[in-house]
Amino acid sequence: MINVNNQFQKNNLSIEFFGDTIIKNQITITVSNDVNFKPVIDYLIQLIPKRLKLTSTFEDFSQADNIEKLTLIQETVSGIYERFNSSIDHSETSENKEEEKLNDYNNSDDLLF
Amino acid sequence: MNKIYSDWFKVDLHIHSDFSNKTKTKDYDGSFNIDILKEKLIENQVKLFSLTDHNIINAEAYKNYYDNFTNGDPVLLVGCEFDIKVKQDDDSFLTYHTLLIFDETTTEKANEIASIIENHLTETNIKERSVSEDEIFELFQPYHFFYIPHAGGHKNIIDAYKDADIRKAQEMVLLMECAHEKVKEKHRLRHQQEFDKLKDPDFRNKKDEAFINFSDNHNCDIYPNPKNGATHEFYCLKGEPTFETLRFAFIDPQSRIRKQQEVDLLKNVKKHISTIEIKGIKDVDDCNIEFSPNLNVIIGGASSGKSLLFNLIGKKIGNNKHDFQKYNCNDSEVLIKASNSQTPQLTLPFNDDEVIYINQGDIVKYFETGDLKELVIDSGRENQLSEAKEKLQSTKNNLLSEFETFKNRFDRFNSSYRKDFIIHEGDFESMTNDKFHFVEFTPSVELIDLTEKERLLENISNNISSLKNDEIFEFNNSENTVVESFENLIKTKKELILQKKLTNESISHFIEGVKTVLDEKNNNLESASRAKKEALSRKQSLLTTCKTLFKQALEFDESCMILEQLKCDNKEEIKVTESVKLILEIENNDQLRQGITNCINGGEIEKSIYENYLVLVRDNNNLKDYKEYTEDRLIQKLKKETKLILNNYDAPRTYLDYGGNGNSKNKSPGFNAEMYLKTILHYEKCKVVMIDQPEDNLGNTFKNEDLINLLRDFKFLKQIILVTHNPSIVVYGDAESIILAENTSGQISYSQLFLENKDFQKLIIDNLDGGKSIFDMRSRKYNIKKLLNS
Repeated sequence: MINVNNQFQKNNLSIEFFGDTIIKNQITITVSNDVNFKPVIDYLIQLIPKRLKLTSTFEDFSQADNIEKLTLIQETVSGIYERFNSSIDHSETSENKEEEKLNDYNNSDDLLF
Repeated sequence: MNKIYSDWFKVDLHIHSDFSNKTKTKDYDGSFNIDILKEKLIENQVKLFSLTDHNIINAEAYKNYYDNFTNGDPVLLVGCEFDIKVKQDDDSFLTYHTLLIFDETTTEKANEIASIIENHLTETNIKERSVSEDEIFELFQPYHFFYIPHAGGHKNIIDAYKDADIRKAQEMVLLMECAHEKVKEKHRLRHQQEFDKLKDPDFRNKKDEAFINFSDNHNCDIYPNPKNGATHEFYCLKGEPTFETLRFAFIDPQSRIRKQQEVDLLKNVKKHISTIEIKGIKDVDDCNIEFSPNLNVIIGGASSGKSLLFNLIGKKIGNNKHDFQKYNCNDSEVLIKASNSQTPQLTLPFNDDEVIYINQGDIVKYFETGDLKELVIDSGRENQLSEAKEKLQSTKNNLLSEFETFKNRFDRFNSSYRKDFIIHEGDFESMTNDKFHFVEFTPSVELIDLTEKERLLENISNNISSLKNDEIFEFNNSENTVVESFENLIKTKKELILQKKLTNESISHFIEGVKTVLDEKNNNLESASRAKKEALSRKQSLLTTCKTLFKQALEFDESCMILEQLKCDNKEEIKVTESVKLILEIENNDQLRQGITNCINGGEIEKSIYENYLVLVRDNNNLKDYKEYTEDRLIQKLKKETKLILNNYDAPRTYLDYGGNGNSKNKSPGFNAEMYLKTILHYEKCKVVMIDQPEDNLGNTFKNEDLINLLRDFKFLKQIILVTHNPSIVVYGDAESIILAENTSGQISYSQLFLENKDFQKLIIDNLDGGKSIFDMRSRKYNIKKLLNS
């Protein structure tokens, strides 16, 4: 499991990734104008080989001025994490299915034909 | 026609005449007639014999025989059977019998030796004649002779020494380097073991002990049967019928003394090359060469024509490895004949697996280049080799297929990565305004395509119709009723499907209608509402792209892992003999991973393949040697960087696995060549083995010991033709046929020699480096000097 801590600070979204199996990493995205999520994507594709899911938390930003925009950003970032997790889930399911197939085959007393 | 190589002939050096009655009471049965004996000898194809009466020589019989001797008659060596007295510990005497066979073939010498015996024993009662060993050496000191004692049966040397020091008897036999007569098979081993104890360690266990039996005939009318009337089994020697041949036989009994029955088996050898008639070859004298079915060696100085003859034979037997064309000679008049053929022919084709043909230095080359496929061919395992190669090709194809998947997955991953992951400020504004829009309608009902079902029912209807009308099934009334019921059921189901289709069409029409209404409504909204709708759609699209990207990254990572875990350490084994396997190997190393990493600028082997390829995803200019990435360029680059590995699958490195003795990769060239030769010689189908200078492939130790043992072991199983400079191979290998190649002022000639001829020995010595010392060494059967000094 990889922990992700998200926090809006002034004009930035600061994202911190940490966990037992990764080196702590911090990514900052500017949110004052257009918001480019590529830095997060870039880092997430690096994490793909670890086959670990993300658990994310958002620091409270209810007092912020542009709460509506930040909510949309939060929705998008969370959506990205969800899709990441769903990919990992899918890969795990595929692996499990393969294992099950193998076990079924190994446990079967029947001949193949 | 006399053979011009060492061939087998029968020998009988223990035949009595009626003179034995003079020295022993009633020893000879019937009346002796040398002419009758001669007839019997010729009839039995005996080529070398001796008249050996007890302590006396029938000089008259010798004279008669020599006076009437013509070429081709059996050769008579002067001989005598002596009673040898042995003093026992209690001063009494026991006697044993021994043959003395002299290197003499004239009446004069027979008379001379007869006189020596008579003069020496003149004062002894003729019926009680005997001499001591010392007297024998004193009396016959000027002569060359062999001492062949009875070592078993009546009056044998062992019994005679039973109350004396047996070592003296053994030393006596060792000193004479001769043969034991009348020893039964079951006693041979014991004799060998006992005599071994006295020999110099270097000469032990060499099976040099010679055992031979003669007829001991006492009645020429019943020749060759012995006195007891039992059937006599002849022994044979190899070579021409001379005393020198006898000497060679006693030095090398294993190769040169055989029972008649064994010789018959040896002569019944497989198909072999019998003769080659050389004619019309530029700068080569016309000649006929006759080959032994056993070991043939071609010797001669530099440029004497040895290899020319070797390659000429190779061409004539249709072997594809010969190099005769380099001599630029016309061989159209050269004829060759097989042992099983009556007529010489222009060619004598052998099947590929019947001939092993090895050119000079080939064996070492095979090991150096790691290509031992010739061994597989020479040992008849071509099918297994093809199967092994096919397996490796299949592995290579799997690898190429993995490359293809890797490339495709990378390409998809790369395409998704190139998309935008930005939400623009304007979209945020649009999404946060308070305008509304109608959300797109998504039906929750999934409509099933009924075309397949319709087709299924139609097929069933058609089949029922065919079934019903087919007379072969002989439907009765009740069966017809069942079929019709089923037909009606299908009709009902068809109607049901038709109804469902109509319902589906209505639902589809309704959904389309709802969508049209919503689109029309959204189109009529103000632009801010439309912008909000489109911005939300773009946000959703960003998330969908992320999902695709992660999925593709995962798939690409899977391909990376497959390639990372792929060990190119494939190994295919071909069992060549019981103890030798040929291994086709693709070595396990990091070349594959290194190659894949090398495709990327700044690729680092310490990083995973996935990590390295993220560099290319982020910047498509990072495909090494190419300005820009394309799918085709990536696969080209992958194949180029892993070319070495891919090529290995086409030409895998080969080596021999010697089981408990390691493998050819860590053995010396000599050891490997030894194993190679052993392996191919064991191949049963092979009938002819041809090797140009085998010594070039071998270490000195092997040359002198193992190769010779190998040649001696196999020369009676298959014909061997060698070109050699090595005297050990010729002399210790006991070559049956020696072909001397000579070059006199550019004119090449071939002549045939054999070892046991003294004149030929000189020629052989002159033409082989170190030949004289090898001949001298070979004459030392037991290291007699050391024995005498001790």
